[in-house]
Amino acid sequence: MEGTTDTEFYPLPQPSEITMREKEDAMGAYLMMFAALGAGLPLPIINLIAAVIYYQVNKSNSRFVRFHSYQALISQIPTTIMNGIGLGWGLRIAFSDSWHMNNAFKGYVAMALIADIAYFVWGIIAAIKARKGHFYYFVLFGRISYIKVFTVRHKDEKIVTNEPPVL
Amino acid sequence: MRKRIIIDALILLAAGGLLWAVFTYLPIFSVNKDSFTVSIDTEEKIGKLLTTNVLESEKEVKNPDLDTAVAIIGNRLVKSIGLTDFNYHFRVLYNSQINAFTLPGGNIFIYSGLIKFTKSPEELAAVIAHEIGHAEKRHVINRLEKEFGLTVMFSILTGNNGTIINEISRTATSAVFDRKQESEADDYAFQLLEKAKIDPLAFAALFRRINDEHGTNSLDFSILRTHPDNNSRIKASMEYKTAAGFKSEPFADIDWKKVRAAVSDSI
Repeated sequence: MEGTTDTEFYPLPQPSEITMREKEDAMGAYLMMFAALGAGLPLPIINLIAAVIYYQVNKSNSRFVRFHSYQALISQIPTTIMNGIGLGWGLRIAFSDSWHMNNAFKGYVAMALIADIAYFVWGIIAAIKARKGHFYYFVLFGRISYIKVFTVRHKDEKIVTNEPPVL
Repeated sequence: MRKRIIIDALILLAAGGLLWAVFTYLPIFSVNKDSFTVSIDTEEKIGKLLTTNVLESEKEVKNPDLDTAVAIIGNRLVKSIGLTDFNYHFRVLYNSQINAFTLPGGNIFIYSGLIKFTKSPEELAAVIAHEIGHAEKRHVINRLEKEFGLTVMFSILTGNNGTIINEISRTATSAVFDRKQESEADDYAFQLLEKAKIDPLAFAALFRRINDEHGTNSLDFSILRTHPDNNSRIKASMEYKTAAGFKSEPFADIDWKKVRAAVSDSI
């Protein structure tokens, strides 16, 4: 981490230190999100709810899994909000006499669609990386998730109890 | 660390905003489904040609009070359209008919008879807003395209065929639209008037008076002629709900009596 900071971080686990189960759980955070997205298409909030549940379930799991679950959760907030606004806007146009289809709406839908596709692609990449035991940082959300999961919050958490024998 | 997060967030916001702006303002979606064939550029050229043709046979009213008033009303409406493909031109012609028409490319003509009949700048604004509706929805060019076919439309741009231009011009100025198109232009006008802070009820007021004074079937008034059921149009205008807190702004700079006097001399 560049710059001066007093924040302490736990060391990142390397692929060889991560169990296959953890790798699969981390990958699952992204894949589950897509499944929920498909299931909840009419209501774009369902994928977010599923991600919250997934994160809660994996809260006690290793930091590697928590990182990916948290990243999957917070990174879909913008697209969820964007899709929600698009849906609401579309419904207003369909059911209200005073709202009309215009270029701003078409532009918005195109923008949301591109954001969704980009997010989908990045999600797939993140899932593959997670399966290999790698970290993959999304713009903005990668940093936030790293800070959230890897910051040493209580010094006593880092008390080293187990020591190797003197060799 | 915090700085980097803020930079990241700004990058994402900027990327989203840029995409939205690009897709909104680039003419990617502005293709009208009713008019795939005539481009805006071609429509403007045709409009110019037809305008010249109309001005050869009909005389334009020129009066400082009138010109200023029409410019003020027109500008307020055009500013409220938002993004538009056309450069609007408003012209007043000597003619006692209570009428206005639109030529392709945003060329709007108002008869002096209409101005004489209106009681306020708002009423004239209602008619102009309706004509802008026809222009924005590209009703005129679509109608000409249907009537004459594309080949003829393009041929007038390449060759100097006076007879065909006269014929197209005659059709364009007679402006007989179908009910759906009229209704579309009305709806557009109500919204435009609201955006321009002009009470859309001015529309109903004018049309009701035309109905009362001249009857619905008078052939002199082609604004009404295409509508067997003008009452529903008036009703639609009266039922149009402006947003909560809507407050109209009067045309304080226009002395309507002077404007009407200017056209009274001309009829």
